[in-house]
Amino acid sequence: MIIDVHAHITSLSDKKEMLKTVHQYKIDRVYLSDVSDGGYYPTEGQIAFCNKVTSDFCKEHSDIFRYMCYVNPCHQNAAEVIRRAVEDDHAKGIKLWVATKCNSPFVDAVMEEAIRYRIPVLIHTFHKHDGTQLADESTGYDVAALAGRYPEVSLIMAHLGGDAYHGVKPIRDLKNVWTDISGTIYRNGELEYTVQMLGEDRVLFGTDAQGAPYPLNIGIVQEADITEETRKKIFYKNALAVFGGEEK
Amino acid sequence: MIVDVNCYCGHWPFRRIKNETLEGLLKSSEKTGIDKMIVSSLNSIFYEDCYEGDAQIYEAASGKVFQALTVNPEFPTFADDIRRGIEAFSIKAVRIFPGYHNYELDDPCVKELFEILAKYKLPLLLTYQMEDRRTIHMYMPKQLENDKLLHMLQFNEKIPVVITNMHVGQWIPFSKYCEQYGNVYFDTSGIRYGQTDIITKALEIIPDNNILYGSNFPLNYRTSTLNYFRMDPIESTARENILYKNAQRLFGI
Repeated sequence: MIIDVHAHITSLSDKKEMLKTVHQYKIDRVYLSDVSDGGYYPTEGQIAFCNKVTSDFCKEHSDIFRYMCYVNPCHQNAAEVIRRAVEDDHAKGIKLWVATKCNSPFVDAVMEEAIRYRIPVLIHTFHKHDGTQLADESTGYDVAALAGRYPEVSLIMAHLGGDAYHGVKPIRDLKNVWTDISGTIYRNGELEYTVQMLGEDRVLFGTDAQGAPYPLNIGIVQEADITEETRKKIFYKNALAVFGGEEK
Repeated sequence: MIVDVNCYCGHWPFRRIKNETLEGLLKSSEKTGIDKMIVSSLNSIFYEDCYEGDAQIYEAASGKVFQALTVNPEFPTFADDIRRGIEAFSIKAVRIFPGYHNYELDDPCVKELFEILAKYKLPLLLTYQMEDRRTIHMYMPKQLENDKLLHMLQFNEKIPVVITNMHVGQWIPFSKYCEQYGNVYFDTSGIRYGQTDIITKALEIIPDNNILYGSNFPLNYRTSTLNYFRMDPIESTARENILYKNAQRLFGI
């Protein structure tokens, strides 16, 4: 079984290609969000558009796809967006991107909704050494600070923090933080390092599809020097623990 | 059969990689089904005398692997090193790391390098990058300029040049060049984007005669790029060319 906790759709996505992808690579469940409209600081209307794209697709293909509600925490209606997403459209989690750092006070309202509905928050996290860091792009340190303030919320630090050697240690002792392996970097040894730091129960399979290909990220877990049980945990068992659901 | 034309052993000083040794390389090859390799030295990138890194591989491997000799053409003795590498190690190629060494692709020493390669009929492995630049925490290598790269290729069209770890999206300017000259090749380690049929889509940019399987191991997981051939349908001639036939032709192995 494979559960992808971090994938994307856009209004321009080839929906047939998306369905072909999950069937070709035998993906059992995908947690999906659309962050494509409006750039780094989307308006309320752009957020609404993104979420409609995702929720409509997930409703139509609910056997595999699960809706993650994209939020710009700086919006006054952020809490209401989450409430409508969960109550009306069955959102299973919240997606934060780069409109504000995840530890900003704006995010508190988002976290309160996450507590209310007991849903995890997937946070784009990427530390960049080459000068291309976005102004409001979160790093592992930001996730750690947020996790410390909200220990009752399950957080997912995406992309191993961009650079695992930078992002993983800050969250090491925070049991409410998981991390996903999504992305295109596929560095040998990074997954083993992450498991060594966090343990086998806090690492999740993710891809960042439609960007990174499934074979690339599946290959990381297949090749890493970890036990078969750890492999299963990463591929799906840990995701079931975070999001709920049953093993196939 | 699978030939990996872009793999290494030696020490990568920026992070711990447990299987970076020759033993790790050979074990990985057994585990992932790699039959033959063109191996370069990670140590050579950082040694003042690059030759010493390849000597280390030869001493450990005793000819078990095919080697690409690393040279730094800024050092005038590189020509003699190539001669010695052929005699002592039976090298199959020469490798350069212009991002890490102090020369530009349009420098006279690079022109001289191509004259030597022509003399010995050796292909060139040109390292476009070693890692994603966002993850490089110290010593940022030079970013190669594609204009200079294209210019270099045009004036040396008789020498096969394999560009390693170039992002597949950057292959596009070389597509017309491939049609005209044919001496530029790409390895698979830079193929990191797409949904399905990843290799088939890469073939829309560069023909299968000009792509070779290369993993960038031990810096990257091999299975990730091998999976493109195991999980996607690929036309059989293209598959064979990329996985081994192009390498056999280019390197004489």
